[in-house]
Amino acid sequence: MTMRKHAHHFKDGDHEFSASKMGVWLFLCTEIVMFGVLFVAYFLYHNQYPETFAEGAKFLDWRLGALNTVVLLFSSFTMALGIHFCQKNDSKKAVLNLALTLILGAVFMIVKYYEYSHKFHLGLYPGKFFSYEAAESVNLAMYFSFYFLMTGLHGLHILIGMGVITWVLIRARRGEFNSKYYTPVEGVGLFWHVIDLIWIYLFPLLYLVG
Amino acid sequence: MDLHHITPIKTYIKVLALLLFLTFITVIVAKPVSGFDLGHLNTFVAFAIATVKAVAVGLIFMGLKHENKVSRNYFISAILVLLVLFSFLAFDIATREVLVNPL
Repeated sequence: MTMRKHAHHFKDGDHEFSASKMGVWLFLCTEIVMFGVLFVAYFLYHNQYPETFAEGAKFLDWRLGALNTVVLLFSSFTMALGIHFCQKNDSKKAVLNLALTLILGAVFMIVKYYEYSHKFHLGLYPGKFFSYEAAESVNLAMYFSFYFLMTGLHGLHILIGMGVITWVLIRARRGEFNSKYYTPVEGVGLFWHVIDLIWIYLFPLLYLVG
Repeated sequence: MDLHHITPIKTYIKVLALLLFLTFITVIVAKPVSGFDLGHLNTFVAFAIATVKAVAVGLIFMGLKHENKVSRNYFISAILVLLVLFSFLAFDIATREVLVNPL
């Protein structure tokens, strides 16, 4: 294992670590505000068309939402353990936990696939693609625009998260991380936790409150 | 602050247990599940529980508890921006004239 040298414009490894982390936090702020705006829009239209949103929410199964919540909570836990074991110089356990996180992310997407295909089957598409004929509200398509935009953007984050977890998993397998250098795992971990954080709010919003 | 703080696995397990417990609570008090209907209070309860969960994830899983001041303040400022946004939304909803549904 070769010791990695910090980039020349940093004082030392710790300086590099805290600067990198700060950058990740700044990026996460933009993520939170981006999703926050969607929540505001949702509440605004929910207030104007409560019947439409109540009708739309009936097509969602809270069991699948709850299952995905549990899956994501566990994945956050394994992600945190992945970092923990990097900090303890235990690459093997770090790789194992990162792999578990990846699998849980995949489980989340598989559940999402079933949810989406059920809605597509009924013709519950967003916006102008909407073709469900038994709708009681004239603007039910708007509900599904919100639904697919919010869960779709979240799902896209899961896919990107799985991509970057794969990247740190490969590097961890090569033994590139240790207690002195694990910055990429830490950054990826923060990103993954924010995705979990957003789902913590999306789940009651869509599946429970309606 | 503690740059390379190592959170013990025990703490992570406790937080996970708390998160799972709160998820269970939020599900059983939800209207579609138990028929528990308190009107607007249902929404309030659901989001209050979500916020407790979010704080647990933020402080322990994301390590905000041991994060340096600058990063922590970045995060707090993002939350403040959202609070401003949500308070404008609340004003809008509260003061809006009742409109006839145009549809």
